Amino acid sequence: MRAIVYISGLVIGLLLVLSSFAPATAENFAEPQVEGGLAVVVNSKGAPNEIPLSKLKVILKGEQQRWKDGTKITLAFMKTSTGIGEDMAKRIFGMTAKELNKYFLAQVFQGKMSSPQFFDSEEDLLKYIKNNEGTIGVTSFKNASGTTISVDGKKAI
Amino acid sequence: MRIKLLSLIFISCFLNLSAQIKDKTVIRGFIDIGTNYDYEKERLNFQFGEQDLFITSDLSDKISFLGESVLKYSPTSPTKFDISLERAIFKYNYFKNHNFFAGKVHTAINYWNDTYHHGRLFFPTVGRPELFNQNIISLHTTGFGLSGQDLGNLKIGYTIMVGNGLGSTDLADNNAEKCYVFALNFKPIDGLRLGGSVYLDKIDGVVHDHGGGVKQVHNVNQGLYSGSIAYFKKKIEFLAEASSCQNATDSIGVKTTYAAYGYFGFRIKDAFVPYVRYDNVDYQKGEMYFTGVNTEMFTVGLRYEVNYLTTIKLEYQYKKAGTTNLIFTNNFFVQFAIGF
Repeated sequence: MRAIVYISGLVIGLLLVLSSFAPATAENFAEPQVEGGLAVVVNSKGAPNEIPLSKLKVILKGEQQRWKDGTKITLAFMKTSTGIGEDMAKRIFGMTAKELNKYFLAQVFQGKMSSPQFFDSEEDLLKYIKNNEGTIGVTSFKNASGTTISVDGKKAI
Repeated sequence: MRIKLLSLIFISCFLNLSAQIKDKTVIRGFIDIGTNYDYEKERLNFQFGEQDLFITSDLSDKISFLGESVLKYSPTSPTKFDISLERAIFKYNYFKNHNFFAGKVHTAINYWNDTYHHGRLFFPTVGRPELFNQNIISLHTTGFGLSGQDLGNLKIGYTIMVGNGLGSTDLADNNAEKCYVFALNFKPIDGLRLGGSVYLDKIDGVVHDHGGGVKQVHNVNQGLYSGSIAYFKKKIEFLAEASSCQNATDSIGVKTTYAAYGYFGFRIKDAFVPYVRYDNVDYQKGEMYFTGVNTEMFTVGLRYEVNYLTTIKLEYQYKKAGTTNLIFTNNFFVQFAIGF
């Protein structure tokens, strides 16, 4: 009898959760705040030339640990206190800077992913991506250098 | 000359290795302080919680380490503080999102134990649910196993583990029997995680529980079955977990304990989350292994997230414990939790 009560509680909870969902909307980018938009820059080893946005989100959230060739994926970003970092949090992750920082802190704390590298300057970020195999990062499109990949067919996002 | 050269090579290799490791080693910490007012004793208490030091290190492309140690109050220690190693995990990423791990882990029995660990900053409420406080679940397991995460479109995660089991120390098992953990979860949509787990153990010998209690146990076959639903999105936070624990002995047969809690929070204006939680622990008459009492607890509170490293919680708890002689307690808490 008690088991039924508890199982019912779980089921009711699930129904409550499902009933709270907003209707699904197509994935697309909000208007960029950074002039010229953002670009996804990768190290030449591991990453593909083109990637859909849904897959990019999976990778940048640390949910995929390796590229197809087995190279470990390393994440490198501008700090969320910078305009590029804030824009990236909002437009790619759909989070505020605070939410994104907490998300990464929690994931690392849970042992789910390695800590991403954060930078103050685009120059340092681009240098890091170039020198570390399997690294992927986000910079401004106008300052992007090295290997940039297309997201949903676009270089500037 | 040759010795000097060898020393130079050794030192440069060491420095190079140190630089590489340092580059990928992250040290973080969490701490909480607070105050509570006990209405029954009419007493205001100031509390220092746990100082949690947390280290992660990528030792190579495939091997990583995670360590979590806690400094906390201990009435039995001469200094009144103890250092406790809560997690020490070596992980080998052998294929895509699949890992082999070994060490001391928070047993992947339920969402709370698998997610929040000792970081009060992440707790949605001031403290853990009652099923933790009454030692219903095995908090830690030392052993080895396989785990996977975010597999396929359903983002399936799993843990299969063999460990020393309840009553063991970090150095040795207290009996010949091992414990087995099987846990499965999946995230069908963003923010939602559904999970279930089975924990099997044969308990025999002297058992120290997480709260410092000690008891002598003879041949208890324990089966702990848990389920959880967690949904955390921008506005709504929902977490419900239930465990059914069956303790079987030759003398009194099978006794079943049920423990569950449900949490609901609703975010207002980005930083404020009013919340409620309901806890229930229900022991079957004649239960011998667990020493707690039937408990119901109602919690209502407000969480203020100042930034991603600072949280303040105000919380009121009403607890009803016992079977025939019920004890009612009221407590008001303020907690200040930070990460650094």
